[in-house]
Amino acid sequence: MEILETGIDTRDSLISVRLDSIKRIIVFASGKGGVGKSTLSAHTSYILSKNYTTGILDLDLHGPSIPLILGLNQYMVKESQEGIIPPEKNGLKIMSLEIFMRGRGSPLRGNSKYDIIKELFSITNFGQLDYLVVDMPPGTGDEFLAALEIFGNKGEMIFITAPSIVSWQVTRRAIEIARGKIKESGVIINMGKSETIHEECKKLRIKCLGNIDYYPYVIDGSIENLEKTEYLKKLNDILMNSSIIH
Amino acid sequence: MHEWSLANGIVRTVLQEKEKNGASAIKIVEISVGEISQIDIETLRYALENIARGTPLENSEIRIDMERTELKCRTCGHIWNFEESKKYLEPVGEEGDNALHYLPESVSIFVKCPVCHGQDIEILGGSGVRVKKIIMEVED
Repeated sequence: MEILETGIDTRDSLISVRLDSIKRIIVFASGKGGVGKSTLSAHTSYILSKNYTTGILDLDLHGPSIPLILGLNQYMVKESQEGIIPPEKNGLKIMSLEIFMRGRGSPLRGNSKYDIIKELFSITNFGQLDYLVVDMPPGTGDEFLAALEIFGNKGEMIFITAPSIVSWQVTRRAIEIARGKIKESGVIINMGKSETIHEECKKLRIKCLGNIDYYPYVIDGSIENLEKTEYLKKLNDILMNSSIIH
Repeated sequence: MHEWSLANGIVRTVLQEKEKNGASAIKIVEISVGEISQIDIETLRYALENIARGTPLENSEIRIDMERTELKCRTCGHIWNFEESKKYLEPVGEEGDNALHYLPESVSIFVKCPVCHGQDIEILGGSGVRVKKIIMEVED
């Protein structure tokens, strides 16, 4: 007879079930804030959802904005025996802490953030997905490290930078921290162009996937208005050329 | 219904431990459930019995303990029980109850310290679902 004093976290086994039911996980990250991670990840999930079964997981616990960007107007979750079923917008499955906190502030410290990320992913029954897009907050702290731990073996990371050297210098640090812990898809320069950052990507041996010009009307909660814009076409081209869509 | 999803996680966890330890049978499983999750113990037990059917857990004794949730305000140091918050604090309304059922660690979003109304709150104990102890038969 053997007694095992475990204290085992039962979420871990559910997380492996969730990972097994997703074909590709694309994580949008950057060390820097305000570079357009949430906008690009939301719109990437929108593009993917036209032809693939897609979900998006918003891990920006302090400033969750994915439901707003995607114009989600009903936040009800349904329960199933395999977990809660996230709300959908035109077939795109959306999970965010905002679905629960609804405009409240989130005064959370490190361990709580790590636990909430594990809880949020383990309780969500996205079902079988071709793609899960993950939106990260700025920085390389708890959320970033939790994402590397949970998605490192299966996911791939796209790093977003604004065209300034200040933005790049912070993003570069995130790339270096993530290196070897998750597959690198490459860097997108958002809201402008920068030859310097192209060169810096070469030095760092990371692919520069392209740049997207500043487009002032991308976040107004009506994503359908973006159809036929140069912005969405450019993002689509980057996803096609980088083999995110194949 | 969330209890079924939790039960799935528990059964998978215990079966993984059985494999890992090369056990031939599982005699007793002790589970602790944090009060803050507001889990219905009877529903959880029913779900466990159903999911365990046809697995090596089918005839195991399953013990479930509800663990009281103690909260501490990091601002003023006050310590209190979660149940106390439910009595008189407005923020723990239906939305809060719902969220804490799924995401117990989000307590500081919904609950305020009864003394200073601060929201820098720590859970001292009684959060989430844990497999506390597994007693299994291991052949020498």
